[in-house]
Amino acid sequence: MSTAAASSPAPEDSRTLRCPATHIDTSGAWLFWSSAPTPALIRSLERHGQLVPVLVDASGPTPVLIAGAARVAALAAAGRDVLCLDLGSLDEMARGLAHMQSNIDRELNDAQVVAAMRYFRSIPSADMSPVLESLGLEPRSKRLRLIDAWLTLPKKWDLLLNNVPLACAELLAGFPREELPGLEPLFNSLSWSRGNAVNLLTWLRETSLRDGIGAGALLEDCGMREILESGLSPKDVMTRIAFEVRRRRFPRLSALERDFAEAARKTSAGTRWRMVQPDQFESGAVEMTVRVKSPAELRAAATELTLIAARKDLASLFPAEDS
Amino acid sequence: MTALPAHLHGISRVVVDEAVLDTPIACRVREKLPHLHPEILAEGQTLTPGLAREDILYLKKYRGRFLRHCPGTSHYRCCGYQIIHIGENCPLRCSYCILQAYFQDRVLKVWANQDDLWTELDQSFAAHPGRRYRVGTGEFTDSLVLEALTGFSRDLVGFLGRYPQVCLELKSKVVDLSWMDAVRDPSRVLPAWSMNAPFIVDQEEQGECASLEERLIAARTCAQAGFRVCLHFDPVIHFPGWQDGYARTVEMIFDHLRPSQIAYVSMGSFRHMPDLKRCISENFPQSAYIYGEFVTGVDGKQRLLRPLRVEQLRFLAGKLQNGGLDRQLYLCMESDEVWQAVLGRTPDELGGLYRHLMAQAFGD
Repeated sequence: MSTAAASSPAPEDSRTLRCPATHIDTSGAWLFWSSAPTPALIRSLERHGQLVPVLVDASGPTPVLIAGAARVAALAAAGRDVLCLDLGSLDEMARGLAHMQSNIDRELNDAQVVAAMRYFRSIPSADMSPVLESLGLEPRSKRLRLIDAWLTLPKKWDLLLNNVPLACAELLAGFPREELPGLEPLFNSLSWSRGNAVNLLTWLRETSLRDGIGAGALLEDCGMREILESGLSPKDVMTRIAFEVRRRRFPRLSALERDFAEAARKTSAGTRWRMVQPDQFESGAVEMTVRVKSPAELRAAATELTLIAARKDLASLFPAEDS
Repeated sequence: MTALPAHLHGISRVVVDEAVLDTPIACRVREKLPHLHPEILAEGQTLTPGLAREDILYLKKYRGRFLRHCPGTSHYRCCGYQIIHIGENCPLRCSYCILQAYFQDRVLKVWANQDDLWTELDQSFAAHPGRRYRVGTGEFTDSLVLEALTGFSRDLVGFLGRYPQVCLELKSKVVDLSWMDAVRDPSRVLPAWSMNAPFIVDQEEQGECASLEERLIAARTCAQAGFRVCLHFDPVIHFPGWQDGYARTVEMIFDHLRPSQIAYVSMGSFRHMPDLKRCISENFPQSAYIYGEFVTGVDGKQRLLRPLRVEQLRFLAGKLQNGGLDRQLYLCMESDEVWQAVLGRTPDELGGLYRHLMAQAFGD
């Protein structure tokens, strides 16, 4: 039990008891942060025994675990009894709060915060203020808004929170529920950065709304299945998927970019000049850069520029002029 | 009580600053809306509209400048007209309207202290007696949408009759011609209506806007009375079938008006700040045009990809030119490159857009 939990005043009727691990009910939904015992915990229990009791509500026929699932699991595996601190009769809210307080000194990740919030939001008319305070959530914050959006997703999506940034919550919540399964393959084995995931989902949603096609079907059209099975590295798979989805979202822009890249490559081939289109063809300008380290290189670059300027195919660098 | 037009039926409250309680506008509103007892705000009190989903008419003592420059944008060619600020917000519900991003509530504000307006205009126009002004009231509200209640435009055209160097444009999506007989010189007032493809008018101009045909019939009525009218294709929207839609609207224009009856026609591609896109997606979830190929313009606004909007504007301009319009056509907030690509000339070749439109407005 953590120091935070130890500092909380124990209920007046709390008492310690010892019982076989298998007698303890460990199925409570309030055990939202429970985890499997680590090797270090197992070793410690073997060498030093159970130094801290687990928390239970022993008011019923069977002790109900409130916190300490890893210790109970490890002691059960070792066939040993468990030292318990009985907190007395607690309702669902109090059980959840006690579980949270006993673990609150952890560094919480998004998945853990979501797990806690999913539990407490499911309790009718729960007073959320102590929960929000414990989780460090401001009542009108963007983070709370994102979490509440995430809670509208099916619970199984919580398992993907390591791969899907929480920042995507509102975007995902904006998809019709029946389309979410079509998105799961994107996140089952690929861990997306926040920016890439937000862009990808935005493009998918907007294309879906514009073209009247479901997101899953859109991903299939973009060749997601083939890309996922291509054997590319995860990074390359994500790059490829994002490229294809963006191309579907911005077909004309993508074509212009492709043609410009090809024209710039041809035009500057064999020179040290680099050409870019700086503003998505809004101004029609081309930016040319060169990096030189000596007067000789500068003179050579100038000669190359003269050769570039003499080419007959420069119009392809300025597609907007033809539009 | 005279029957009010449908676009005013949603007004559920009238709030009046005590300081303007006895102004002509407040008296007219009381007469037109006798069933709504006005709530009076004493000096220092402010209106708190809350989350009201019905329109609130607020007759306010305005303390800012009434005559101001149009908030154009850098990098693009602005038409340079000046705004006479008569109020804010609009009861019409056009999905693309920037006002929903500007004003988060449904308070229809009318600056009822007209005496202050007249004083400021007198001072401004008298300070530069030789200068011509092209002014309009349709920037932060529809020029005529509250006319049946306030008679503001009728007052304004009456007042401006004293200033022949001022040309007033009244831009609207409704039909209200009650101001016409107060005009001293029809050449100094330009009634103007928004134009769009029929599909956009039907789907995206919700509320009680007049139909395209009603607008054009009103324009013809004005033209027959000696006014020249203005038409505004702004925003031009990219949607499946846009060619047929805009072509049909141009046909309708020339079914109702002769080119000589049109002072000018603006064309502006739909553009927006990110806030507006969010408003549209929330308020008008069926409006899919916001998911077109928009890129960030050099002014930071989202604009349709240049080749797409050039294609669209060129198509529209071509249709209008085929009908006999030429120098009346101009682009709203576009670069010289787009001007060249669409109209084959730049504003400089017209002597500058500000000067050109001034000449068009005054019929030089």
